[in-house]
Amino acid sequence: MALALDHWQAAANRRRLLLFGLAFLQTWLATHYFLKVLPANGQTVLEAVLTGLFIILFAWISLGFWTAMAGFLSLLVGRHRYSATRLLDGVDPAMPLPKTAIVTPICNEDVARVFAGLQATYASLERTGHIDDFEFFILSDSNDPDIWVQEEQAWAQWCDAVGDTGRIHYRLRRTRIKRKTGNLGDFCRRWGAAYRYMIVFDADSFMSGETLTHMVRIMERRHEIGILQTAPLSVNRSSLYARIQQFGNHVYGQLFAAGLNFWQMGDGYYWGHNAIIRLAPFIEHCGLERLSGKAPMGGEILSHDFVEAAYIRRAGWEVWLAYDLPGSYEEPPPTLLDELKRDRRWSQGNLQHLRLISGWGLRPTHRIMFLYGMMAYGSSLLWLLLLALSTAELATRAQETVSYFPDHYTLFPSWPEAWRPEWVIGLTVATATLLFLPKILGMIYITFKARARRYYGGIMGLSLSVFLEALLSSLLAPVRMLFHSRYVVATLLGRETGWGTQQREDAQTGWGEALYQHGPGTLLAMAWGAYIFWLDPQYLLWVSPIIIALLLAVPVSVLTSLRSLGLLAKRLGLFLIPAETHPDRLLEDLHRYERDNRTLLQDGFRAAIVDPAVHALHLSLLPKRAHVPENTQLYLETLRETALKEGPNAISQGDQLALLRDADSVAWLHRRIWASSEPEILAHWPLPGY
Amino acid sequence: MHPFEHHPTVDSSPISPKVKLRLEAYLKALHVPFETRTSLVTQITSTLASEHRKGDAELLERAMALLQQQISTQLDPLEAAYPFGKQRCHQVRSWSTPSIHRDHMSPHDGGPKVFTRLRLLFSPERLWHSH
Repeated sequence: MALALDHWQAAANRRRLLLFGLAFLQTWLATHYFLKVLPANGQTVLEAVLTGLFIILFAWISLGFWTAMAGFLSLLVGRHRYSATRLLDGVDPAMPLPKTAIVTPICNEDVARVFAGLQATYASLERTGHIDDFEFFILSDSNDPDIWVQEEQAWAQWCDAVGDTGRIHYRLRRTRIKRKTGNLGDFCRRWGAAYRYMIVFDADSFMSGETLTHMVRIMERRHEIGILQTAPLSVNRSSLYARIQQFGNHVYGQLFAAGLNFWQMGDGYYWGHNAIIRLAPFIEHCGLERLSGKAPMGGEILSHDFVEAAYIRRAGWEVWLAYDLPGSYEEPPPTLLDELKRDRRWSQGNLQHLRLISGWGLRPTHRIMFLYGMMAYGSSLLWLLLLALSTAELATRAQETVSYFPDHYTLFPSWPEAWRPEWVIGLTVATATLLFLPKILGMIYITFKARARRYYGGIMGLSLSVFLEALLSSLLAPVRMLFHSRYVVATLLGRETGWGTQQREDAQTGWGEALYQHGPGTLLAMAWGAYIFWLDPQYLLWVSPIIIALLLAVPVSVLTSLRSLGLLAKRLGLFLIPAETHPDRLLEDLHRYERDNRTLLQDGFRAAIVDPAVHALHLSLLPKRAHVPENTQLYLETLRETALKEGPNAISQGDQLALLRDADSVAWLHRRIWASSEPEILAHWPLPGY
Repeated sequence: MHPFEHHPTVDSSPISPKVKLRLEAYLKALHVPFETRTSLVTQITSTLASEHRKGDAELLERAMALLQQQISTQLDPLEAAYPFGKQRCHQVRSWSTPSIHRDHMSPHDGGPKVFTRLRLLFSPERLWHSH
């Protein structure tokens, strides 16, 4: 008897043919009407380019629509033969599990929150009785002196709290080569062979113990799977923006995840976290080479996850999305500007895939997925171009004079072809349907599930939230379009973007920052709107949703970043998600650990120098320095003298880091401060409990 | 009322209260239990009293040196602060040194297979550029 997931490739081919066929037909039909709407029916160069852009953009949203439709039907049917969770059927819960490493690469993150997520996960695993089958690795690339010491404290306190279990490991990488891929690569090289699987966490990830054990069991049941990705749910934020994103992720995200599994099957995505990886093939096949040339299109591969999925698949291992496995969580960016900052990195990373798309041996599906990733940002630039060229077309038409009697001889006057507003309305309605119907389907799916409906605030709360979310996403789409277009152009012009730490806390956007970031877009919208009004006031009506959205960008960005509005919406029963209405033990633990960590963690650098316990811990974790060159020794001596007399703020972060790396300097400062009776020194270095 | 006035360890010798308070604070920050703390401070203050030193600065410096000495012989600061053990920290520290001995037999499904760092080093296309 065939097991779940067996012979999936033939089914996947049929489904892809169906899905892409439907998208093609829909696009062909829409293009037919689009050509009729154009004054010259696509016969001019400008209109031909416009048509080309329309085809690409319509096909893009059409594919998204059919993916959501497939997802909706999959969810209605329930778990089918090609869902990875079917492998759990009949599994003995007492089945022994192999050792699995839970790895969390971090870099200057919010320490209290990162460790709280891991502590909650640990506690949940303990409740399953399988804690002995898992080990935790915190792989730090932090170079902020305060954060470094706080990480050490958090690790030690956690080990202390759970007893000396020997299964929680902390490592700080001193040479931060290749960012996150280098960090994980370092783990794979040093310890990878000791584990059959690793489960990759992001700094804001947390998962239930049951989900983790299920993931290992699925991998054990099907040895062909190289990567099993879960569909993490966004939770735990309070700003209005984040709560709306969380709501959208819960209501529509599941449709898209199920839809992706419908046609991708074993050729799926890896999103870089909340996924389990079979280590041996990963080590063997997923080492990423540096791309030739300079960043942004060359150099290190930034969006490594898609590439790793493509490489492990190229080697014959399957990549599945366990779309219906609950208990996998992450946090959304707290504000629009934070999301846009993240998008800047992602857009550069995804555009880099252009270099890899024709790579040797890749599966066609993964080539399409590279294209998909690029279109996530490239579509914005194409949309902007479409709008710009439409305006150019309007300007051209406005300058034309209608000639009823052309030069050549005709019996009748040449009447200008009537503009058919009903076709334009039809096209607009069709496009809106593609964009908004998945949202309604998501709502319908939840509405039919009585228990789920209650979790989302009942039918009224759910419907109103969906309506408001759709309204906000319409307001945000043009703003995102402008930003994404800028990122794409900057990347194509060779300007590199930063790859800093993500904002993980609920930080609000100030009016000044919002004006600085969105002001140019607002000015552009004003100028564009005025120009269109001058050309043809009627046309302004058609583009008014875009113009209004850009004009409102500043207040929308500021107001949605407010935590107070997010909490008010929660009290009003809007944008509710199950994690808010019925938080489970995992979430409660997360909040408790986070609160405790914030109380316990001290000011890092200062604590390592002054606090005897933190000092002892830090020294014990420092590697021995074999030889310190004379120049370095002189530099360190000058630094510690300055730090002693003028306090920690008198030296830069880099200098603090240099001192923290030198055990002799740390110990010297500690001794001198504790033995000091000089009030100036003690003012700079207050002693605990003294 | 100043907490010092209460304290049993600071009223019994002629050493400056400032010195005793500093010793107390240090040991308290290390989470040293009350009895051990009292005993250590008494030992140090007795030694100081026998040495006839003058001036707070000199006394303080000597007191802290004696404390460090006592700690290194009688008390492990790390053990005091984190009872899970110094050994654990050393284990973690040793990880920062790459070691081929850390590569174990792989429990790969295809049967036992040794993944050594050397193998990775000698296959450049598979090399994880890290250190």
